[in-house]
Formats: sequence, C-alpha cells, structure tokens
Amino acid sequence: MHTKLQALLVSCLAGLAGACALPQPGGAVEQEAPAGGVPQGTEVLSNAGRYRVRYLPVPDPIPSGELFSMLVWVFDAESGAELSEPELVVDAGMPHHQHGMNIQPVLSKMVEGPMLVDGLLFHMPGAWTVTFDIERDGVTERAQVVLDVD
Amino acid sequence: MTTVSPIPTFERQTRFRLVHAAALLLATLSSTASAQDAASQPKDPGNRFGEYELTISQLREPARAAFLPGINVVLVAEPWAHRVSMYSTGPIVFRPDSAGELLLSIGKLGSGIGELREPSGIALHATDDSQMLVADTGHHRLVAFGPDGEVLRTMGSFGSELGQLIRPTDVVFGETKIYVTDTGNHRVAVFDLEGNALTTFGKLGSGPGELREPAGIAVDGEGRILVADAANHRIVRFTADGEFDMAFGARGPNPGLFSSPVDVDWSDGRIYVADRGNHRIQVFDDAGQVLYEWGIHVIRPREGEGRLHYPSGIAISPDGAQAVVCEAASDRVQVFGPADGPASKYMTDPGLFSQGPARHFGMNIDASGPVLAIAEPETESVLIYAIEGTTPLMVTKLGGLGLLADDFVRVDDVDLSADGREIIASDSGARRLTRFRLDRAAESELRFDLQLGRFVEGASLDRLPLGEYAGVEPGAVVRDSAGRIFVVDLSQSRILRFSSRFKLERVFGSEGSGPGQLRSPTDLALSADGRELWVVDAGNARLAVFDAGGTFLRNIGERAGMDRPHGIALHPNGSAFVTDAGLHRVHIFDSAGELSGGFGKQGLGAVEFYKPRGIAIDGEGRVIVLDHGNHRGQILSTSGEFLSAFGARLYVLETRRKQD
Repeated sequence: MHTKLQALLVSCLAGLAGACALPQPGGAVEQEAPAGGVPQGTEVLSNAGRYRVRYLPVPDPIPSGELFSMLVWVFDAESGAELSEPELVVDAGMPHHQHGMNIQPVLSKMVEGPMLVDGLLFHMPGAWTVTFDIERDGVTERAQVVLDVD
Repeated sequence: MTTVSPIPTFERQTRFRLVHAAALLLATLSSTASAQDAASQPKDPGNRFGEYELTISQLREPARAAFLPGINVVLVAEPWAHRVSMYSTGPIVFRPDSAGELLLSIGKLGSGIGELREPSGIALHATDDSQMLVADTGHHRLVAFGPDGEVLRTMGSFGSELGQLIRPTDVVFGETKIYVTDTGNHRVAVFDLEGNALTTFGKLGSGPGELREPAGIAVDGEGRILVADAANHRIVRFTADGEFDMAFGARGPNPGLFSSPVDVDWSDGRIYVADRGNHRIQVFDDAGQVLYEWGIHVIRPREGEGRLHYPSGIAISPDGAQAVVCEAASDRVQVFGPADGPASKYMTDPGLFSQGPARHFGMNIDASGPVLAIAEPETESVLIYAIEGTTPLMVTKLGGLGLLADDFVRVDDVDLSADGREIIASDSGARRLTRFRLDRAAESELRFDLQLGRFVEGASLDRLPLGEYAGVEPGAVVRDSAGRIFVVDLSQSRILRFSSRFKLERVFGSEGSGPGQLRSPTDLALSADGRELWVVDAGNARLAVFDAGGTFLRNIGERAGMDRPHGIALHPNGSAFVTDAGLHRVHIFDSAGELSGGFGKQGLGAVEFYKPRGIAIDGEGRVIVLDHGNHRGQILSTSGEFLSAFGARLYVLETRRKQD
C-alpha cells in the first residue's frame, strides 16, 4: 500500500511542480489551482486570511470507507511564499452528525515537497468538513473545506 | 429537616483570643462522651455515608471545612464573609441541643494582623492543636493562629518565587511539614512547622505530577499528599517528599470520573472527593478504585435534605461518624451520617442526565444585534442564541471540552463584535483566546445550524511572545471597534491589551487595593465611544475605570454597598448595569458614576435572582441577566420590568406563565 501510494504521489508531485509555485492571494474562499494537465489540487483561503492551503486527495475522488491520503501545501497569503515545514494539524468530521473520523491521520513532510497526510478515512458517505490548522508564533489559524463523499 | 441559622451577635464578633481556648475546652469536655459513644456504637469499616442529618444554613459560600479533634465541632471557611466559623455538628457536652449552632467566628475583612480576605481552607493538626492554619486566599498567604487565638505568623506573599503564593486555596498538616495548594501557581508549596518555605512541587500541565488549578489537599495515613487537581479533573497523589505517586480520574459523569473536583479528604483508608460539577461525593480506596458515591442532584435551586448542589468541600470527622459537605453555591453546609439503605437511595438517577446537562448559564455573556452568546461551563462551550423574539432560541454551539484548537478547557468569557458575527472567547484552562465567526448571510434570520459557527483562529497565551508578561490566565474579554482586545489576566489581576492580531500592546493594573489596582476582576465593558474601559473590580467591591491606553481614571461605587459585583453592561446612555452575586441584585450607576437605582432580590420568581453573573444589553435595549444560581436567564427592561425568562428547568416556564 505504502509503495503504491508513494509512486502515485511522486507522479502527482511531478505534475504539480509548476502549479505549486506561487499561488495568488485573492478574495475567493476556494479555487482551483492553476492548471497543469494533471491533478492540481484545490486552494482554500484560511479563515483569517493569513494562509492559502492547497490540498490534493489521493485518490481523488475520495472513496467512502477506504483509507486515503492528502497532499497539503501551505502558503503565506500575503507574500505567496510556501511555508517549508508548517506546524499543521489536519482533521475531518461531519458536523451535522456530530462525529469525526474514527482514525488518527499521520502527517509527514515529503522531501522538497508538500506535507503528506496519511491514514485518512471517511467511513460514511456525506458531507465531510476537512480542517487545516496552521500554527505560527502562538496563533493557530484554520482553513477548512467541505467535501462530499458518495 | 433541621435548619439552624447562626447567631448574628457572634457572627459580627472577632474573638481571636477565645477561639482556640474554647476549642480546647470543648475538646476536653467532650472527649469522655465521645469515647463512650464510640464504645457503644462500634464503627463499621464497611459503612457508607449517605443519610442526611443536618443543614447549617445562611453561610457565605462556605468553601471548605475541618473537624476539631474528638468533638462534634467543625471549622468552616467562609470566603465571602472573610472569616472562619466554628459550628457544632451534633450535641456537645454542655449544650445537648446545640447541633448546627454557630459557636465562634474568627476574622473579618482587612489586611491587618489576624484579618482575612477570602479565606478558603483550614488545617488543624491531627494530634497537636497548638496552631490552626488558614489559607488566606485573597492575601496570598497562610495565617497561623495559636492556641489562644493569637496570630503566630503569616507565610507567603504574592508571587511565584519560593515562599510566595498566588491565591492559595487549601492547606494541610503533614507530620513535620505544611502543604499548601498554591492554586495560582499550579503547584503545591511546602513549609516547615515554623513557617519557613522549603520547596514546591508540581507545575502547570496535565502530565504525571503536573497540576492545573490544584484546589483541595489532604494527607493520607502514610503521609502521602492527595491533591484535587480541579482543572485536570483528577486526583493526584504525591509522596511526602513531593514525588509523583499516582493519579486517577478524568472528566466525565460516570463513577470514577470527575467534573472539577475541588476538595479531597482522607479517612481510614478511603479517599473522599467533592466532585463539584457532578454534584456528588465520590469515595475511593487507596488504590484509586471507586467504592461508592452519594449525592442526589438538586433540580429546583436550593433543595436540601441531602440533595447536593456543587459541593465545594468535604471533611470527615476524626471518628468517622460524620461527613460535612460544604456547598458554596447554596450558602450552606450539610452533615451526613452513615447510610441506611442501598447505595441507589443516595445517588442521582443516571437517567436524569441522559438527555444532556441542564444549562447553568454562566458565568458571562454578551449580546449584539440579534445574537446572544453565553459562556457555558457545564459543556465548556459557547452557546449562541437568537434573541429577536420574546424568548431566546439556541441556534448553535461553539467549542466543547477538549484540547483541539477549537475546543475549550475552561471557557470564561465571550465578546461579540458590533455586527454580531464574530466572537472572541477566553479560555483560562487552555490559556487561549479563540475567535469564531458566524457564517450567516446579511440580514438573514438566525436558524438552528450546527455549522453556523466557524473557528477562525486561536492565540495561545503560553506561546505568544509575551516576554516578562508570560503566564497569562485569560478571564474577562472585550474588544473595541478597532478590534483591539482587552483581556483580564486572572493570575495577576491586571489587564492586557492586544492588537486584533494578538500583538501585545499594553499592560496595566496590578494586584492590590490602591488607585489603579485590582483584585480578581471579573468583567470588562467599553464605553460607547470606546474611550473608557470599565472593570468590575470584584475583590475590592467596586468598579475601576481606565482609558483605552490603560491610564487609571477613577473608581466607582466604593460606597455603593456592593457586595460581590460580577458582570457589567454599559448602556448607550452611559449608565452601567452591574450584577451583584452577593446581594442577588442588579445595581444601576448613572453616567456620572453615582448609584442611581437597581432591581432584584434573592428568590426564584420574576426579577428575583440567585447569584446573578453575566449581564448584557441587546440591540433593543433589553437587559439580559444570567441568573446563574437559578439556572436561567432573565430578560428585563432597563427599569427592571420582567419581560421573559429562558432555561431548561420547568420552574422557568412557571415564572413565564405567571407573568403572562
């Protein structure tokens, strides 16, 4: 599983190299990253506007009831610079059902690349809210996105 | 039911030189009778407590108690009467009908020798009664009284160095040492019997041997130290030398779990815990295994005869025949004897809480536009209500107990932005400020939606670069129109001002009673023009006014007769509405700072309160009062006319119907 995943991620990363360069700060809460002909990920602006978070589920679309991973890049929204090793916590839940995941994901930093969030599991179909909490200098700010899983 | 009120004449007297002499006399006279009683009624080691015996009422928030050796006499710390009182808990030799009587009081408010401020803990040595120790919480010290009532010495002063204390709440004698819960420093301080500071152990945290708001303290039969680690919801045991030994408990309602355990006692191989938030006493063996519990939860405020409401203190008599339970929230002490029936007879029906906790509504609130935000300590969440109609309707909940970024450990206060869309909450337990946003379209009606609130960001006051001001415990919070955040630092009785992005800009105020000094400030409000910051200086029973830059301007209400001011709301016309938890009333000050009126009295009816706390004025000029002790909110006009009430309890509905 892990070998297959790494191979897939390498493929994704290769395709995303251009897309990950400099995301533009903007007012849109959520937007597609620049096109690159391969899976590009989606960007979301953090709730207080300090960061842009780009995420890419692997596989995409996310399967219900199966483990999946996510690649995450974090950029300073003002300068556009990528945070090389952000203090990041990724979680997910279904607020309307008042529950989270029944598994604890694991974060790791890929060499010269994004954060890898491994071991995610949406155990039922429906609307899942994924949260990205980024901490810097004592302040934790959240970016979040709602993903529908069939 | 036996309810006995104290003797007012004694209550007002300070009898320093008589207290201990009287205690010794009582002990001598009673020792023979006690021995005879013990011989005729041998103690059953398997006994459980549970049977209600006696209520001592009309106390002032009794915090903790300690029995005198050998007799039916208990000492009770009454923080808000600034005294320690001695009561009989049963017949004493020369006064067979004296059960529940006030015998003597010691202390009065002041800073002089023998004067006390908010004493909350007492210690008597098990065999040597040559001194009585009082945790003089508001003075950040211990006071040792001698056998004829004289002050032998004081120990400690405000601070965090060795020998210094911040709000010590309980004290106990070891064999050769004195152990103090140094609550504000989240540690245990150790002194020798002569009052010399020896060491401290424990530090802020949740790991082994770490403490978060340690409260009650006891010594077991092997000299080990038991600490009620209140904000970690557990009991921690240390060796006599301060080495971590074990801990048990976590937050929850089930047997063996706790909700803010605030006191602990040990007797005959059993550990007794005042499980405050679960309204019960839990009993454990020395291995930390739960044995049984007692306490039936009060439903209608101040129900008695064995029902418990927020027990704050527990003391077991030396002969093991009586248990005294202090209930600060109900201003009383109840005395229990051995159980006379199955354990279920003395326990709350677990089904009572199967549909969630009853709302206690407190301690603080804010209102803006159609939104009311309430800091709810039972669930460690912020409740959001729509208040457009007659009765507020809850539309969403923010936070919840936990350590994640959008959780709370102990939510203290909330502030709503002027447009009612953004909320700042302070969390003294996690030492964080948290910002939420309500995702609702402009002018749309508020509807129930669990996703209405969005966590925006949180600032850890332990991780912000605060330099010399590190260690902030955030309490009351308010923002100005520029988004600058003013927050009380509970640990130092001062105010910090942050930019909207949590950069520290100003620090002002300090612990004390002089101009610009504060004691335990509980709430903040900004004038309509944002130029004045009003602070409820609860410990000094006054209001303090600063400008937005932190310059002290004036005190208000020093001669207004306030007892325990807590919450404040400023009306656009400049008048101030202030709740008084001690007088069960709302005071009104005019724009010149003069007391101009007020409303409310103690009770459960309309415009009656019990320990009211948070207060707010909504966009329609209605006054919303958190009637904390009655588990409800009341909505009133500015002249004190009843408009509505809200809350889950049936008597709230009764109040509304009567008014209709």
